[in-house]
Amino acid sequence: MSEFVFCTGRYASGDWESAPLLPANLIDSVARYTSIEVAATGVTVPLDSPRIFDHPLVYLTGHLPFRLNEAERANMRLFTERGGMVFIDDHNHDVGGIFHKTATEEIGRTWSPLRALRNDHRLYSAFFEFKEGPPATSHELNGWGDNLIHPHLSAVTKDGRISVLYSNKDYSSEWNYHPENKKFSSVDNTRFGVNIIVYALTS
Amino acid sequence: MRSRAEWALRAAALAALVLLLWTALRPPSAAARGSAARGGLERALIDATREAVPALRVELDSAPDPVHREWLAAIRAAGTDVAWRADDLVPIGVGVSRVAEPEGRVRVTVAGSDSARVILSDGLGQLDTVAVGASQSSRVLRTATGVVAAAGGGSRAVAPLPPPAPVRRLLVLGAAGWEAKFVVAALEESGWSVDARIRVAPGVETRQGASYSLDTARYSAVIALDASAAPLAGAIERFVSAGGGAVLAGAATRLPAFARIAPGTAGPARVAGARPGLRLSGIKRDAVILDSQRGAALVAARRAGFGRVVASGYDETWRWRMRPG
Repeated sequence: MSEFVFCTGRYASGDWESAPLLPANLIDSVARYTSIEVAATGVTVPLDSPRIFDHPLVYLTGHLPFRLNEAERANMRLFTERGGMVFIDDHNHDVGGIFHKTATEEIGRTWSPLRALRNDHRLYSAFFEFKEGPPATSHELNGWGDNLIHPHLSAVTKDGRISVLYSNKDYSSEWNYHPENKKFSSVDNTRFGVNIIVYALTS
Repeated sequence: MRSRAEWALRAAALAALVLLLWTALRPPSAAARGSAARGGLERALIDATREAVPALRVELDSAPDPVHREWLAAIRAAGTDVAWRADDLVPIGVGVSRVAEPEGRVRVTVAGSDSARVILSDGLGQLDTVAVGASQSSRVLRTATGVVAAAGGGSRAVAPLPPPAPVRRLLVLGAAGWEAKFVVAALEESGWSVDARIRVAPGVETRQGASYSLDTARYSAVIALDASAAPLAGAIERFVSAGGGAVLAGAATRLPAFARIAPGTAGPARVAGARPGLRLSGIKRDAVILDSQRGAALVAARRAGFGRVVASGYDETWRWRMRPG
């Protein structure tokens, strides 16, 4: 049986690699809390590469303008049509910022416009329970970005399943640290990342 | 006067008896013995019925209908030596069954001479043309209406359409991973109602659908994708014995608990190719190989109790969906 391999998507237009420690941190959490067979290291795959179809969950982030070229757009459309899921997180945490504006536009052009995800969605109970919906990040309250707590995530769904999950909450900053540093926190703030991965693998 | 009348009547009665005896015992006329020419079957049957013939030779250019078949049988039962030949007639047989699935497709099997061309039709008209190979060919049709007929080479065979096969729920057992996710999605897209128990962590399962006990009143089949099915192995074996179906894939085939019912075990050797999978080994004598590549069995099935079990070496079918072809 094939193991889960964390995949970071590389796109041509921006700083796709802005959260280099996130993959190792989430891989550590999945291995720590679940019995899912997970590869020890993640991979980076260009969005226009056929190799993207070997990884049905792709993580995308950045600070800069998010634009897909024709090849990337066509590939990603096919990717979700076949059952893949994309998780996109605004590393700026700024609804007025350039990543958010371009990403939401690009999502609408490639798939369909985002809709707010209800906070009782199955995503929030896929493994850990998040009764209030998406957990707030420390970056939502520290004066960076738009200084707002965004109460909802957004999604494009297909046949009741999330095919594109979009976040303004800057989980990329929240989870972009060495997993060794988890021991300094009383509550592991990567648990919601485990939910995203378990949801992708079971829904 | 009276005695003369009596003698005359006795003579007449005796003459009538002699005539009847002679009619019954006389040899058949040469004209009644022989064969029914093409197209003259009905005429020959009438003649052979009116007057007993020792033999009736029939040359057929098309399959006789049931009435004529019964008529020939009756003439033979009456003592006539009936024989037939049909040098140009192509024998055809047809069988119709329902595929046990939500879509309710129809499987039509045609038997006949090699390379015979047979036209399939149903109550609404022509469906398809089949070239019979190796004496038998099958077609799976989306739907059919009324009676299915197969005709060709002067022959025609018919079979009624059976009612749809009962379809119940499926239960998928597996560990959290792409295979379980895509198998459940594929089954649901095909119209199946799927319950799933997906193991995420020790003692932690994600469940989809109802939590019924595994019995044939509720489930058509259980699909065990890996060793996470072990806790239910006993229930699965009882389910299969009672008439349920089981698909054991990958590591599930190697569970000792399934050794009695599994057609074979998958792996560790893999078969490379367009659709790689684990090679089946230890295939039981009563198992039928359903799929193979490069001489290696990948899928096999056998009966167990009243049910059936399929062993599959394909453990990454999700890749067929993500990377078709």
